[in-house]
Amino acid sequence: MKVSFMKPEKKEEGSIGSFLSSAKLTVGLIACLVALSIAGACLPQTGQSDRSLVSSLGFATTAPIVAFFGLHDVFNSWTFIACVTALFVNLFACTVLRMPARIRARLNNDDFLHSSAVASLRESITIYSPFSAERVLEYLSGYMKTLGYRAIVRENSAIFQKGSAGWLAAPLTHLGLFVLLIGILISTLFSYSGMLYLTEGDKILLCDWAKQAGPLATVRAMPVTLLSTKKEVHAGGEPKQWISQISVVDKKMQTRIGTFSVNHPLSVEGIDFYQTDWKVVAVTLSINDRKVKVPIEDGTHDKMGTLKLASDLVLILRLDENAKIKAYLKADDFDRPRFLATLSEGQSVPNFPLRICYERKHPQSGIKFKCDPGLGVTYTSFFLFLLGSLFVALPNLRVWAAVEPTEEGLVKCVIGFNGVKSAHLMRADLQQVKHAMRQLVFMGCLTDREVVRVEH
Amino acid sequence: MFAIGSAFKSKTRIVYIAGIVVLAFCFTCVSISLLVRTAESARFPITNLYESLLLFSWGLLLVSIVLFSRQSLPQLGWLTALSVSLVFLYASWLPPGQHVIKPLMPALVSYWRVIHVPPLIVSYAFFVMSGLLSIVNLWSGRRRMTAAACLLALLVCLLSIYLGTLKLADVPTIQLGFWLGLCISCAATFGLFFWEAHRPFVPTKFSDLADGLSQKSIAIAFPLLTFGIITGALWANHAWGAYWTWDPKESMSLATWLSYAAYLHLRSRSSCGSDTLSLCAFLGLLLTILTYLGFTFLDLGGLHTYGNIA
Repeated sequence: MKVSFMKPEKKEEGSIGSFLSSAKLTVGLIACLVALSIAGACLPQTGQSDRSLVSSLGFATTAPIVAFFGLHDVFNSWTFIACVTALFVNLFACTVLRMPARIRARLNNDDFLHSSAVASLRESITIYSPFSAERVLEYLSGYMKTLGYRAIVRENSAIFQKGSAGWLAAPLTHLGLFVLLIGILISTLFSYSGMLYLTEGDKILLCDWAKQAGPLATVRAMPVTLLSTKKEVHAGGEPKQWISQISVVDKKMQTRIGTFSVNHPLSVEGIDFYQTDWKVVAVTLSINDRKVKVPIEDGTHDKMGTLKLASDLVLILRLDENAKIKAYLKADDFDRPRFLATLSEGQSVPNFPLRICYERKHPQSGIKFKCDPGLGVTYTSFFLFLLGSLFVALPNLRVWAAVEPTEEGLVKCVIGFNGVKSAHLMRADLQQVKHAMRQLVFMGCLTDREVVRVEH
Repeated sequence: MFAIGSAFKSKTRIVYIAGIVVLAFCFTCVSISLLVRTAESARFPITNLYESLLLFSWGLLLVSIVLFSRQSLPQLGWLTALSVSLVFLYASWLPPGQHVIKPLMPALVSYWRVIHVPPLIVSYAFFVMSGLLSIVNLWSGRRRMTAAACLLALLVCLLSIYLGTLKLADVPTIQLGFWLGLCISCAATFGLFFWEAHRPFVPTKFSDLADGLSQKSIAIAFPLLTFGIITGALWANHAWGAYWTWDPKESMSLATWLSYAAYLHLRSRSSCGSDTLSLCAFLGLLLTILTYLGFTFLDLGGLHTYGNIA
């Protein structure tokens, strides 16, 4: 039987490949990304010039530094993009240069080590025994099996494994990152999205509203009409749900009607519609039977609308959460606006010379639409991440052993393990092995006790 | 009780058992309170900071039950008791409005809320415990100056949370104090760590226990955090049509995830010592606190402001 021995890990100092694929580089880049993510989370972002950012921070002298590192828009800055690119280069190098050998070794279980290599592992013990190499390995294998390890023995070497899936964590997570990259690439090239702000009865063509479209995206000229939109409220008046109903014309030129709300999107031929916003943008009043549409705008604290009734008389409308109106009158000779009434839909201002009636509100539905062919691939990467992270929790214990005869006529058995994951478990197992070997010695199987020693 | 038990050499068994009984009773009480609140509000109670703190304390107690063995609970039970007491104290400081059950806003009316939030909160509990265990590991492995600096950084966080929650200072002052304090204490931690590095780290039985439990905590919490982030992305895509928007909370959770990914990479390196791993776990603890509570007292805004104190 031929046994291939794995050489102790090559340390090619200065080699670009080994540097690019090193875990040290990974950790360094991750540290940079962590620092940038914290900056992105904690510093004011996007749309702000470095000046306004600096003024908001109160450190005028930091402006050039902030601008240079792009800290005012971290996730689009050259620093962040450079770090992510370097991480993917590191990932690619690691996957190409290191992972195949490791995966092959794990699948074939042929990464046996010489006794000298075992002795150079992170932790090892050496036992000298007067028994034959076969008997030592046989005894050791038997004992490791009682500790729950699977033993693979070839000639004078052995590998003991506990937990067969734990090692898959890294390959799966790395694969997930590559799949994510592909998903993002597909999304960037082929996806499109946009925001629609429609009031009831508005009809648009989707292609006119697609603001973010990839270079290879084909935006459909799908006609969309908002049929109705409404807000549901809790008993206390707090918003409960925003619901919209639209009609779209599909590829077969058939009109389809669909309803969607927050957390319940509508999907039509690969295009998803999301309810993202809802607000009242205007109200219709009838003033002495003449209908007037008053726009409502966001004020400092409230939604407000104004209507000039005469040259020195202004009607002020304050809209509350439940679309009720508080009407005030402002005249030049008033020191402050005078409250008239709180009106619901259909109600009129009582005891007022003009007949002012609150006819109806005009809600505007904020709808996001999106077509993303890369989403499935991205979700696959999420699944791989999840699977990989689950395997992190699984044990991955691996112990190597090798025996060789010594000049003293004894058999030297070296047992060791690498890595820090589950090190305390393997350390405890090794202690038990040491103890068991001692027991073997003292159980009367030994002729010359003096030469037997256990090193740690 | 655990502290009293550790102080005396004899007759400690009864005190330890009493401590364990109190912890078990506490776990039962928190579980019942969560169930009662669920029944009362007719939904899983994770809609504001107070409710998430209840779940967080439940998670901390769960760590002790899941991880601590018969041996380690008497030795490290005080850590659970201390952290859970602090969480309860913090929850009691919150404004009365936080304790009241309120109707959900449209964005939160989704089954995704129950899938996304609990794993994250429980993962935070495991990460916090692993960070605290790593300080214990540093302390008992003759890295006492580093451990003291770690405690100082932790104190800065707790003080900022205290000031921010009770609104004892305005937000910019808290932000400035927090970042300044954190930078100084972290610089001190790293400086002292390298200064103490000339002495070999001496693992004791106790430090080995703390280190092993810290590693186990992270091994359990990492998949939970990954699951939480992924389900958050799925929910965001379901609700807003974008699975990642670089919202401050998303960015911070990514930073936390990356820090523990770095920990796992370091753990796979045979040359990395237990003290380095402990330092990494401690930095993860700071990031976890910042991700979970940082938005409350630093007022960073974003889409995840449901937990903010009004």
